[in-house]
Amino acid sequence: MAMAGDRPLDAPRGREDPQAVVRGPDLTPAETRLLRARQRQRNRVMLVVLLGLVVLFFAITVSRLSQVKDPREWSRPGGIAPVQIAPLR
Amino acid sequence: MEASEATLSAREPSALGSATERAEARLGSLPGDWIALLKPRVMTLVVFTALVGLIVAPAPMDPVLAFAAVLAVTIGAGASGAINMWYDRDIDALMRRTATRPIPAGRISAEAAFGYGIALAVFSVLLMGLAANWVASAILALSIGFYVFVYTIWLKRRTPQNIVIGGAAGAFPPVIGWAAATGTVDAAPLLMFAIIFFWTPPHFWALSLFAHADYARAGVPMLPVVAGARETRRQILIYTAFLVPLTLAPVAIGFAGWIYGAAAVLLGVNFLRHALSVLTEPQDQAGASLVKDSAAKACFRFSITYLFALFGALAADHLLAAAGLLTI
Repeated sequence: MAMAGDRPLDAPRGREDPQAVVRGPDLTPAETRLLRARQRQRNRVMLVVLLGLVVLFFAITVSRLSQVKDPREWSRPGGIAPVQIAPLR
Repeated sequence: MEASEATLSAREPSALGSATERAEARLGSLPGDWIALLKPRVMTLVVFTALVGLIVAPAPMDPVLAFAAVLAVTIGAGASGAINMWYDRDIDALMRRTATRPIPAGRISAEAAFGYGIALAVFSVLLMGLAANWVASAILALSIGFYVFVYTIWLKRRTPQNIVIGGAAGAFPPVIGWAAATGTVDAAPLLMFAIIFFWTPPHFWALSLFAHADYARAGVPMLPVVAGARETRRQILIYTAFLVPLTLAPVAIGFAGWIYGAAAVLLGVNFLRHALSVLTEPQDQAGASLVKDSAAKACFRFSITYLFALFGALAADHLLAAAGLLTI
């Protein structure tokens, strides 16, 4: 049986198997290196974003907690710390 | 506020079928493509006006929470842009200005862009609620929904009034900034909303005067495509004439001081001069420019500077007043 990868990308799918996966032409070694480099680059950015989110939510939590005067106001189950609106200038 | 991302320099049309582009698409996306999906140039104006809304609000905000609130507005605006690019991928491929965007160029799949936009939209609304308050969060959700459903899906391909009504989406940021700080909406943020609302048509129509061929090719009924260049020039002047007196209203209601007032007058006179140049530049019978739309390009460029400077002056007024150096 012929492999789907033997056909060019835009070739019609075989009638014998409507669910046959059509694979594009293989990458050259140089293209593979480029692909891997891009994947690494995306992964690094994702790492920075995730670390940034950790820092952001930590900072938000500390700031919100510093606004709460009476913990009983928000520490009930399901409670959300209220925002303390500052008095008008 | 989509227009701000437009480039004045003509870019090469996307050679979607070219071997180079096909090879690029097979290699996947770069981090920059995911940033491009957020329309960063549009975001700068959105972030700036939201920040001004926050600064001029009468209640000071914790700096960390203020940063998180502005970040939420930024991400929300980016999410709207990504969903807009997902929905408009068919017409983006037809327009020279947008053909090299990540989706029509094949570097990011439409499904991935849609998921990215939705995830960011939900995240931004939750972040605003947790960092500031749920009033600001609801207005942010409303602005994202307005941009996606009212402007992108409903109006953009149906009526030349698309950017007049749809422009409201870009006018929300100062209201969101104000609501983040105070938890309410007042007359002052609504006035800032109105200023951006009336600023959007001349800004966008100036762009569409020199990009009308793109819009015509994609079948987007922008005013120059439907009503002609001459009528568009007239409408730019009419909206600018409405805008300039409106920018003086904050001084009239005691919300801004003389620095803002002087800036509004000077900038307004300049904007009117640009709008008048657009109306009177050498043109043929149909209103098509005989001088490569130089007046429209200058007007478009100035409109961006105008909004930055106007809102900058408003922020400066309030910062100086807060420091006791000025009385409003």
